[in-house]
Amino acid sequence: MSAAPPDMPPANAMDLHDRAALLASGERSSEDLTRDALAAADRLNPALNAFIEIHHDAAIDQARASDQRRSNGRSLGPLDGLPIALKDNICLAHGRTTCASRFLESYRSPYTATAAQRLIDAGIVVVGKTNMDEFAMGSSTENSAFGPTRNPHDPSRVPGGSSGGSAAAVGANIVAAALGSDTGGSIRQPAAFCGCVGLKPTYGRVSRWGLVAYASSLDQIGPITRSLRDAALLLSVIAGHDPLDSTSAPASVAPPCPSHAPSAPSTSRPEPPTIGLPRAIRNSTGNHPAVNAALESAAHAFESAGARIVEIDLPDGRDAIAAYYIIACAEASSNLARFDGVRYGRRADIGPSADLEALYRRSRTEGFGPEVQRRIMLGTHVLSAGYADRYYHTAQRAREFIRRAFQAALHTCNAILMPATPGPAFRLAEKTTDPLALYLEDVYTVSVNLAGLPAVSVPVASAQIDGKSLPIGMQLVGRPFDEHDLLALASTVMLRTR
Amino acid sequence: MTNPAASPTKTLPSDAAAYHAAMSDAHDQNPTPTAEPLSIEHVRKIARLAMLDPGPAELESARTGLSAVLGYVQRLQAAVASDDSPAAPVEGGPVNALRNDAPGPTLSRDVFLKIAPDTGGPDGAYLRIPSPPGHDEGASA
Repeated sequence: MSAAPPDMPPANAMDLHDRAALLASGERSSEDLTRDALAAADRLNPALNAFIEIHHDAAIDQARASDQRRSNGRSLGPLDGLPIALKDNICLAHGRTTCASRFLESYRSPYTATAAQRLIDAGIVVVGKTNMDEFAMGSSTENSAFGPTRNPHDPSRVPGGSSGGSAAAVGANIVAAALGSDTGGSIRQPAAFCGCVGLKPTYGRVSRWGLVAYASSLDQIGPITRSLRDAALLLSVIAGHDPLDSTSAPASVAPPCPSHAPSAPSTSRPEPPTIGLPRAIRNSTGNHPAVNAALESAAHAFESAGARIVEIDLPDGRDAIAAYYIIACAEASSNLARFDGVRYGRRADIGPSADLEALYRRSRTEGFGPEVQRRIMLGTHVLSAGYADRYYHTAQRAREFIRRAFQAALHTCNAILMPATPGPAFRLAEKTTDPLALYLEDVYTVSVNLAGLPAVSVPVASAQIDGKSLPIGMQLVGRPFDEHDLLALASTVMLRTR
Repeated sequence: MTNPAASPTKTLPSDAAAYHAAMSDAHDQNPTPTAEPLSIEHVRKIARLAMLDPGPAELESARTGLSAVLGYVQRLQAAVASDDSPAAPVEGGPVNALRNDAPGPTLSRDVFLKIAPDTGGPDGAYLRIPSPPGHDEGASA
């Protein structure tokens, strides 16, 4: 197959739609694109550590099968033959599913997650499983048992987390897209740090079946991509009711649209849209100056496209952080109780005289890293007798307060604009000794998970720091199950600010 | 929603250094109501409930980290106390669906035994575990 024409970007810098066009025109085969992706992964992974496992042989087999289907006129659709990556907490009945944990370092899932299976049924090629914070607990991908992932824009900095491997793989152009999961910002924050688009769908939009659970009332799978149109396409494939997920949205919920026209909102709707801008965030001293500048540019982009900007009030993000860490850790302490060294995963060598309880304790203590143990203990404490009212039930009340506030705000505006993060990517080890400082990095993202809303992070600017250009992402929060409108609005800000 | 370092009396930092200073300042000068620091004994009890067995250094580290986080989350008490809105859930939230209590298709027992750390009994058809606490008959299957 021939290389891309000189007026086109190299295939590895294209989005999924561009690459699909190459396949459709016959200029490139799936095997070509897959070999490109595998070669890039082999070349860059020693420096970035974005992948826990690269599926060389299986990916080539899948690519050849796709090429065969295409040559027989039986292509499965626009994703058929395109290489992507999966976060390693998404079960795949091939290779390992480790969740970046020593506990599961040899675990081979006997089944494939619904979201991954829907992509496989659409013909995608899985080139590998990406690094992450252990069990998705972290905001920097430093809490991985397999070492930290590095930011492709500056390897001395973190890629964000917990889906840092997925974001780094897309940001480094190893693949055009990857799946991540977002419990408190784990898609949007790394996407912002790595210059990608990151979409957290409405809670219930995408099946959680086969996603290793961290906090079940908050977890949601979503795409990390190079473009909004790719995010829309991937969402349209992975979304939909799944009887295996008890909180999956019913089939009667309108499906997301596979594509959207990246046109100005003033020309695509009868009334100009209204964009809410949280008053307290504007020009906040807690934001990096480049973030404040990018927020104003994004607001200006909306106004230029005919939108109306209104200032709104939302609950204090610091309260949301507090509620989030109580609820998420409480759910984690329950979900991770299943890891006991009996049915699967790591089993400690305890000797012949020890009892079953010793097996549980030693297996869990040896298998879980420090942050996972800290969150399990925090969750155990806030659920324990005498403390549940003080912490857990209070956090649930705060969650309802936050949900009502977002619901009220979204009655007055079509979407809410705010930063994805307070600043650009921070340095490796900068926050590892202070868990609270790391938790505060999530100040703009966790409320959205508590409210169950869809949100997308888009790259809009960059900050020049230490001679490196670090991406800045803005976040747009939308109405429940209205990802189509959300992505269309986001295209306005992405097109006009870059 | 406000930023962790938001303060109306401060001016916008002009560079990254000021930003980092503001973040540290916020951390130091926006003290959230603190909880009593946890005792080592209490942390040991939590660890036991969580089926964890940390060593002395890990226990102390957990005590410090948990105390800091629990101190921070005290702020919720005040936030929730000032909320006089009705406690009813908002509309449109997720609804937990219960399946019929009936057997359905599942993976075979062999599939699950294959990924188990240890199996025993006739044809290796059981998970092998040590004796439960209080029993001293050795390993049982």
